[in-house]
Amino acid sequence: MPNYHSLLHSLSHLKNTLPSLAGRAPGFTVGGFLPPAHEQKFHAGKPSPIEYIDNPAKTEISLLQHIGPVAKPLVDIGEHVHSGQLIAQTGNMSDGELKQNFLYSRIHSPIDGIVTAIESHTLANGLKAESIVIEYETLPGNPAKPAAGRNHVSGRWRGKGHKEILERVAEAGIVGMGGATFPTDIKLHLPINRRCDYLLLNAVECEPYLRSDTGLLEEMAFDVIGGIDILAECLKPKHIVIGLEKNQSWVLPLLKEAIRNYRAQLKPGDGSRENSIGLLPPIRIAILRTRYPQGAERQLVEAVSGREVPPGKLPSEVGCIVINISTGKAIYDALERGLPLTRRIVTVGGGAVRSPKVFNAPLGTPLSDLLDRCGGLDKPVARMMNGGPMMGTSFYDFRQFVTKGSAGFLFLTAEEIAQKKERPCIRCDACIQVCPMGLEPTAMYKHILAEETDSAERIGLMNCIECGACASVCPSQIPLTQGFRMGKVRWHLQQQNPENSENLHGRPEDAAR
Amino acid sequence: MEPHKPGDDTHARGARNPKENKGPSLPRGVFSSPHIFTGRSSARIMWLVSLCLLPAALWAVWLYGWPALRVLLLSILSCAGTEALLKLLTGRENRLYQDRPRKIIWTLDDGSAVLSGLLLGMNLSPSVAWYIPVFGGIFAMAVCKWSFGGLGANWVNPALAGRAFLFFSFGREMAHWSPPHRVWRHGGLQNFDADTVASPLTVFKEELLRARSGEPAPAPDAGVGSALQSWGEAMHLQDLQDLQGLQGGQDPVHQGQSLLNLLYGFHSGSIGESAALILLGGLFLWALRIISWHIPLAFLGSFALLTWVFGGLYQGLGLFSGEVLFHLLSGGIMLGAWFMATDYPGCPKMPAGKLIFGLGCGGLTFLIRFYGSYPEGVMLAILFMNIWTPTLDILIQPRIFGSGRLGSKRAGSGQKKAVRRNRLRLPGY
Repeated sequence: MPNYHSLLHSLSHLKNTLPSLAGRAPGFTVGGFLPPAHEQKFHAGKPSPIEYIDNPAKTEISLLQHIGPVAKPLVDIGEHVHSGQLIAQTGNMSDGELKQNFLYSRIHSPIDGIVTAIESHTLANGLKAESIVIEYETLPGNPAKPAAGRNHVSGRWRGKGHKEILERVAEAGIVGMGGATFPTDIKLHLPINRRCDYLLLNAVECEPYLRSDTGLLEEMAFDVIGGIDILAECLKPKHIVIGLEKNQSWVLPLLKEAIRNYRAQLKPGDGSRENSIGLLPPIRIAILRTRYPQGAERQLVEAVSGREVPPGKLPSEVGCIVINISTGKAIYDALERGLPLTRRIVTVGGGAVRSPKVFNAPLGTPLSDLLDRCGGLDKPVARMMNGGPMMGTSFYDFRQFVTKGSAGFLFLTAEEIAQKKERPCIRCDACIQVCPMGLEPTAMYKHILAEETDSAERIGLMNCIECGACASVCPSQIPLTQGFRMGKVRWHLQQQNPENSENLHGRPEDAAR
Repeated sequence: MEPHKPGDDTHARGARNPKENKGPSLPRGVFSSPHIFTGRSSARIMWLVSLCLLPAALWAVWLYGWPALRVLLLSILSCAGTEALLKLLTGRENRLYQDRPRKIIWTLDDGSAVLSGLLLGMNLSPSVAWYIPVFGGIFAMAVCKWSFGGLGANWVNPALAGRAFLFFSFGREMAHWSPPHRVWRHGGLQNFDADTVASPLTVFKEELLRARSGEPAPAPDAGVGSALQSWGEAMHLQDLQDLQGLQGGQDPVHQGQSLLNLLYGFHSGSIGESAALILLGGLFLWALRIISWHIPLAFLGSFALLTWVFGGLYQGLGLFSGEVLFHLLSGGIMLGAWFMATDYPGCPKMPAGKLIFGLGCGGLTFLIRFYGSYPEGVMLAILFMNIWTPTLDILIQPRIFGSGRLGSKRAGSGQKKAVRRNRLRLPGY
């Protein structure tokens, strides 16, 4: 067979160059589409300030806010806790257990108060876990809070070294705040013989409606730059790039100003910071094309570095580390201010919310509190979800709380969802055109429907990142992404129990009911 | 809880009982992401394609009169009726939701049956007998669409297959073309009242066969004329006095007139052969992002190139002397390239496959028109390439992102290191 593969492949390189010559913003090259409602994200227009929630009357802190096993509570009912106190952690952190079960995390109390209950609770992603209920109460013996110096950097982490910084990150309970909630210190461990060429700060909010990352850059860009400095100290990358989408580009001047301010802090002459002069390498800002899923890890790596992460591997395989900017800010808080991760930026939006807002809320803040501050709901809600409308998980139980991974809570009306009747596949190839992983969603779905999970896996089922682009553009409204989730579960079950594979009946539609 | 039917509005499922509803209703159930959709629907696509065909259809009704409308309506009714009947007989079972009451899911609202009927009608001569579009519609729906599994499961365009069935079953009737009511003549639009006139491609084919067999031309010393000129003569587009002066030469004025007649469909042929309006409809389809440019461009481009290079050989004119415009504007090539070959189920999924598909269609059309025994080759060319679609789909597959080679499906297969493309060059701050 002639080697037309390589010919086509070399032609596809042009796709990266030609658009930028034509004046279009660069971006990932395979698939993707302009998501619906991208122009009516409420952040595209005027910036609205982030509302700071100080101390909610009651917080409920889930013990499962990270990937890995459920944390064990370290406090009892009736016990007084203070803000920032360690209240739960995975395992007892002995060395042996850590080696066996390396996905661990720590959870801290966001407020001062009393533990009133430890009860079971269904999370937005459908998992059940216990959560610690803390009611707010001022404590007499409360240790004074460290004054959070705004726009001031002490550089006390300088020269601490990779290992110590990672320990501090783990102690602060920092997990990936883009939604995957993968423990950050594990992510920052590079494979042996692999160095970090690119440190990518992911500020791309490709999901419509969300503006948590944009809001963070608006208000706390200085902290983000500080976080980048710490990460640069830790990883020693060749390039540092902050990824933004074109419809967020109005935060660019703020970002540049924050970089200038931060550099001004790194003055010579101060003994403690003597070795910090010029240590912050140049930070590059990539304004990428507004296209979903620009913010997905692999797509961002390709858009900026031109490197493709091999299937089944992590970005560190190609020398790239992708960190969400919220995580970067949390790292700065942990090392500069000694604060554990107890807050995050949350968007509450969607067409059914009276006045959508962005909050800086303590973890565990009830959703009802946030909604009250938004003026409540004024239209019938067709779907409630945690996260963006493309990848978020929908929930029906209104009792939800801010967790480390919740970028936003959305309340969409039926008109916004615009779902039509499901019809047979007409083989229009729209799903193949938009798939950012180069898969054939329609063929995979047919295999899964026919209970041929092996065949689906052979044509790339496990490479699916579940971005939802195929199901969103499908003119026949086939629940493709849902089918792939189902197929992945079936594949894993088959791998565990090959002899039971014939008992795994049930179709994706059945799971939906 | 009310059972959730697959076609229900998502809101209906979550809505609470309105009596106990105080505030805004909340959904009672979870849904898989994504939660927002682009609003495209397959029914909308089908109706839009029909809409793009409509100008050409209405124009044909004006050109050929009521017979054209009769053929179009008969074929649409036949297709829709067959579809409805088949649904009535087979559509009761609901495989996925067996615990729910069985009921017929009508599919006429998706527009595919109407579109097939319209396409079939536009492939027929306006003067055919009433049973021809009826039989064609039944064959298209029952055999080509439903026996393979209905919408999206057919391997061939039902309308085209229906036409092929009629072409081989009713050969004489299908080759009988009635002329239009009006033609462009003497620099203006005039009434035309001939009984029957051969279609441009038939005239061309006769000329070609005569040239091949070495028979002398009917008029002495006329030689092998151009297809455009012979067709103009057949349609009496030129005055006799003009013809006397034209022996052997070509008059640009009359040539232009003949081309205009072809472009606007002032000739005897199928209902959907007014090239200008079909082209317009096809461009609309492309602008609406319903079809991609690959198949029409490859089809028309390869056909035009081959005609230009080899099309003049039979006249003894050598290479690069073919009558490209005559061949592009006559017959069903426009309808075929824009509306028939781009039918979703019958064409390959990847752009490269679509280009090969289009090239094959163009090449085969050229071969059949110039070297085959039928005057028109578009239908057979597309049907032949439809057979190759599954093979092209197997040969040309998308490359999984991150895997080194196109078509490699497994992690790390054929790959030593990660693929590297040009990286962004950005200023540092």
